[in-house]
Amino acid sequence: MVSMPRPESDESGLVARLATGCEESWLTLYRRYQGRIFRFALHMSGSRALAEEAAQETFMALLAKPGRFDPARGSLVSLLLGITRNKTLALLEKERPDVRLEDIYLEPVHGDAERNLMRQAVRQAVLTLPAGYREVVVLCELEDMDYAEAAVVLNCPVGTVRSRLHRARKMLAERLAPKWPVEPFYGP
Amino acid sequence: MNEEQQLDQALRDLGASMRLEQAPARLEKKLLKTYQHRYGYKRIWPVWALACAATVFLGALLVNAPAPKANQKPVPVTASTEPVTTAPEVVTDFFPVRNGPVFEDEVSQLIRVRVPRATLTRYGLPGGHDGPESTVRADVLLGRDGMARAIRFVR
Repeated sequence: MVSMPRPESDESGLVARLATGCEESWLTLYRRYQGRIFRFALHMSGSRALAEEAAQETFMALLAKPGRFDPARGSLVSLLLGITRNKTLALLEKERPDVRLEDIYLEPVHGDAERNLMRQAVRQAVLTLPAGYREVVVLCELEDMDYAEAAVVLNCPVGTVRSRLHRARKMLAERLAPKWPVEPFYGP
Repeated sequence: MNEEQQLDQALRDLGASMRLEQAPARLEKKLLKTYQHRYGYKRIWPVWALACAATVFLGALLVNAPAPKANQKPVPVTASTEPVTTAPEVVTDFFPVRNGPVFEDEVSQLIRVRVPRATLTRYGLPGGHDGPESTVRADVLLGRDGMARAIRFVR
């Protein structure tokens, strides 16, 4: 049976080939990670335009200095998300966009308008968290990242990730409590 | 379900609902152009494939291109590329493969190929119909798009 290489195992090779002008490597790398980068920025900002700009700046930073990737310090996605985080926070500081729900409005699932409204409420609650708490929620709760990898992205100890996440969840629960339906629609 | 569980479920639901979000397609095109501009457009093709592509392209030119005028002189093309080989060889000037000047900054690669002998005649050079071999050696300058820009013949 032929085993496929894990993505992490060929990251160094992909990055090394970037500087040789290997377009195929560039496209592979971009297509593999663009979704996560874009989603992180979108969750953090609530703005598609800002998320696109942050994603662009992230990949431009990698293009400018592919040598900054050091596999000993973490995965490539951790490096990219760390860059995206900095770019997003800088753009938020500069632009201070209003949170426009229509930017990230989802089409309601058929017959599930109530669920869609709940998603919007949760999304808005996440966006109103201070940035330091918002990012741990985005990485660990929305993007299913483990604490160790989130700590690499955020450049902080694992314990800090845990405590911030605990505090963030409390804040979210307080903000969402009035919105929980009387009859829980997620089930018993 | 208590509030903690409701929060868990709500966050999971939100995460799942946005799992398919992607950056817009225009971003890929934009970044690809930036990449090509920065690193040059070099496909990692084997040399033999490049040589075959250049030979086929030049062969097509031989069939389809109009004959050069009898008094047409070659336009010297200055290329900053390194010589393909340091062995003593006699080479002609570069002939543009298509109309128009060839600019140094659009040239990305120089490859050695063999072309049909009759190609010499197309460029007003002797020896197109005689000689022991049916092909002759040539150096082809490729542009950043992989297309031939100029050719010179080698003896």
